[in-house]
Amino acid sequence: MANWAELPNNLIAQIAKRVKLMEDFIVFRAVCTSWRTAARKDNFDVLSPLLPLLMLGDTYDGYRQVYSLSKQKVSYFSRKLEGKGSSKKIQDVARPHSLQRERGTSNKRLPALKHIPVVALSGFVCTSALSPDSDSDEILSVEDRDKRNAIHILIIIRVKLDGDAFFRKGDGFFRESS
Amino acid sequence: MASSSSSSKTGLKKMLTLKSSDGDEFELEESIVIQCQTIKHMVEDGFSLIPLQNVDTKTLTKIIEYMKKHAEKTESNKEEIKNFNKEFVKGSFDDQFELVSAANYLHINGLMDLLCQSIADRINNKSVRAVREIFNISNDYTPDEEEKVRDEHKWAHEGGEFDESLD
Repeated sequence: MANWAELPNNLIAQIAKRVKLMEDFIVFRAVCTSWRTAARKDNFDVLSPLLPLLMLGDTYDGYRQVYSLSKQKVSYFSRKLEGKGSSKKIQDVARPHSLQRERGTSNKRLPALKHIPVVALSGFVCTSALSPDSDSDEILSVEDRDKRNAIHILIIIRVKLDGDAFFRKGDGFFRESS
Repeated sequence: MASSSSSSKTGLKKMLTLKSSDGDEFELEESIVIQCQTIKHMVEDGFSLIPLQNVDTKTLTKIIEYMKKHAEKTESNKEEIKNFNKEFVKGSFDDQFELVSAANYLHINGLMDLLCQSIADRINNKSVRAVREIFNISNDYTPDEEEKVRDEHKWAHEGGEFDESLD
């Protein structure tokens, strides 16, 4: 019987490198110790065209909800939010990677967003992404369809496994948080 | 067959013999076999009989099938190659294990790509539990370690529907 746990490390890494979605990569690393050792975080192809996660304005039982466009499902960040809505707390949850997107700073590590398809979320109007190279600071905008409510939605651009950058409408740049 | 192969420039097709771990021998044109980096280097060193101690006959037969097909690759038969690749990865999981191990050992880049991608695709949207079952891997974490691993990126393990099927 084939023993997939005992493949050579470099071969496991080759397979891990081809796992395109971060969620799947995390699962991959949780399967067994040899897969975890072989599939190092830097095996993850941060430049593969990932769809961003949307951090939803609503919380569920105090947990921040995040909508994965790729998987079309909602998951929850485990950390509870106290004093919801404050950008300090939101940064804590999003754990943004240090990445500024003010004009003039390098944004080379951003995944290519040009080809993000427009995804219809019920209740939201999504507009398509602009190129990260464009002058506009807006990557993807999500608005309430009836435009009554304030927009609390964050666009999280996932840059590395150990941190995410996020964009919040109105901020004009990616937040940096340590 | 492959009259347009590069070796035909010299007029004579150079032949090589591959020997599987079961002792079976396969004679092939050099132009086909040099897709495999490991063998290419041996050819450059002057070998013409190549013993492959890590590759059994069953696996070698499949790999030769792959190399023959891909040696025919031209601009016009891309679709055909694509379909061939699709069929090629349909074998049993045990077979794929042997194939990917051999492709890794032999350094056949295209085949590595094909197999690793096909294996990685099996993981899409699966839960950790389902992946373990599909690959027949036993969980070797201690309960404490597993808890820690899960906690590190808890959000990725919960919420929504996971595919628990073993397809």
